Amino acid sequence: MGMPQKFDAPIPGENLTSDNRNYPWHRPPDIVDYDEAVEFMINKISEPEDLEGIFALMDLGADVVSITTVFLLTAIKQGRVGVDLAIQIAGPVSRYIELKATNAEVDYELGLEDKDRKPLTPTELKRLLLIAEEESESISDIIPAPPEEPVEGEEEEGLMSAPDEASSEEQAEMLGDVPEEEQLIEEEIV
Amino acid sequence: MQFDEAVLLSIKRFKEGKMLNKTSEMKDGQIYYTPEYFDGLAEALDADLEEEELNQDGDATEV
Repeated sequence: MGMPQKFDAPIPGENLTSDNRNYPWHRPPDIVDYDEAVEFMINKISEPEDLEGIFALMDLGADVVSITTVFLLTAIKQGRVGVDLAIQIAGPVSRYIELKATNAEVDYELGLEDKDRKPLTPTELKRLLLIAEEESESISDIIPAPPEEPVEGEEEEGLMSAPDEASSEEQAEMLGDVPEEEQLIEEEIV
Repeated sequence: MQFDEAVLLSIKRFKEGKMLNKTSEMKDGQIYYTPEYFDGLAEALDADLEEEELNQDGDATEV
């Protein structure tokens, strides 16, 4: 039987019982040298998957500063570099991203001019993705999709979906609460 | 100062051809990835692009 999960929550103070040294950013970073850190980031950015991601974000309107910030935060989170070194290498990393975009002929914005620039947070990224989704929907509105033909015998509900609630009569029947007349008829037949 | 602001400042300084004061203190020897290095890299990439375009034009005229 499924019990309500009311009490399945952390006990107050439970966080103090865990070992915080398990987090990568609480341990000494892997790289402490400036040039080594820049080289690591350049190699990371040069990976095809990461480059695709960068160019896709640029298409969505993310600027170079925001993308650099995301890459640096990821490196900090993974324990590759410390916060101080991440700030030091921000310049070379952004410059390299810029050069890659120029080389691939991708339009981009630096994000240095706008003082009210919004940093690329998960919420901002979701908003940008929603805009992209809406744009693709508006395109599908212009070009209507062919109507789907109903498939015979297809059930609307899934196999695991909740059944409809039985009527009070059905419930009574299931409980063996059958009216006496019906019981008599059944006995006569037998 | 927030992390974002510090990153923005660092990028601005690098774009101006300067490095943060603490960078030279953190590094013992000579710094390799300087603004000048990236200027050279940009020039090299531009030259490569121009060469590629020229090669493409040459191929097109040959056909």
